Amino acid sequence: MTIPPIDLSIYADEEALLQGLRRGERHACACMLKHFASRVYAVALRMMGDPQEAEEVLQDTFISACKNIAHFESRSSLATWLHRIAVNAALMRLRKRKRYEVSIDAPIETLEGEDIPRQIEDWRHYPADRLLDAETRQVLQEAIAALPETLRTVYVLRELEGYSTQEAAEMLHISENAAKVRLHRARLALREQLTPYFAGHVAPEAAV
Amino acid sequence: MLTLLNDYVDGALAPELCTALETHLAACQNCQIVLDTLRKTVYLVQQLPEAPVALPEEVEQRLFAALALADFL
Repeated sequence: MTIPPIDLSIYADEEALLQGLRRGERHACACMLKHFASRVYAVALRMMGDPQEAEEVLQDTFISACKNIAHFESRSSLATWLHRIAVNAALMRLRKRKRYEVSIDAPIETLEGEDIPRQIEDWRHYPADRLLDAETRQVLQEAIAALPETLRTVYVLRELEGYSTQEAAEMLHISENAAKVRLHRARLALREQLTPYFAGHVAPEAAV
Repeated sequence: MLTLLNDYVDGALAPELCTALETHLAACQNCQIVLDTLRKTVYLVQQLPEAPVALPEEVEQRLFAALALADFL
């Protein structure tokens, strides 16, 4: 058992860590990474749906945070501030990605025939009153990652990152109604994707 | 119908439409299943951010390197 080279106890609390960051202490920067990198990586993964691009967002976020720490005004927590930087960094990459890709799923802003539920199997009683187990998480994450990008971005912002539909719409420069339709379509598409898996995992006696 | 279901799940449906929808649901098993599984989908996904994500070691190493902090690891 080796002692980790980063002594996380140097900074007693977030305020002390912030002061260290503002003084440009490398140790403070390393501490911030240790504390927050996994959370930022999780956001980046959800936003990008791809580990490689998530890693780029992770690096963008901390490079930007270290550069702009002087602008951090302590009105929010460091975690909230980093979350916002990560979301912005992800959105920037998604916009860049779009420029080089011809989208085959032009956003349809109405609910169309393809959204009509096909899977009516019952998995209402799938047990979900405990923390999601690793397999369920994996299934959910893969299903979200598989959504078309136009749907996924709104969906992740609204359902996972805590933004309202209106905020998500503003971040994506689309109308609130368009955001709402995409959100609905994403939910329906997810439900369709999840049904075969979950219906197969409901205990027969529960599915009555 | 699907917009109705989504708004209903969000609690954003006008009361008179709620009543109409509930009347329909009481008589339509399929819609009831779709509604309940849609609700479950929303619920399950909302549990995701609570779950810890492990930062792969090599991702962490490259992050520290990108910030010229590799000597801390």
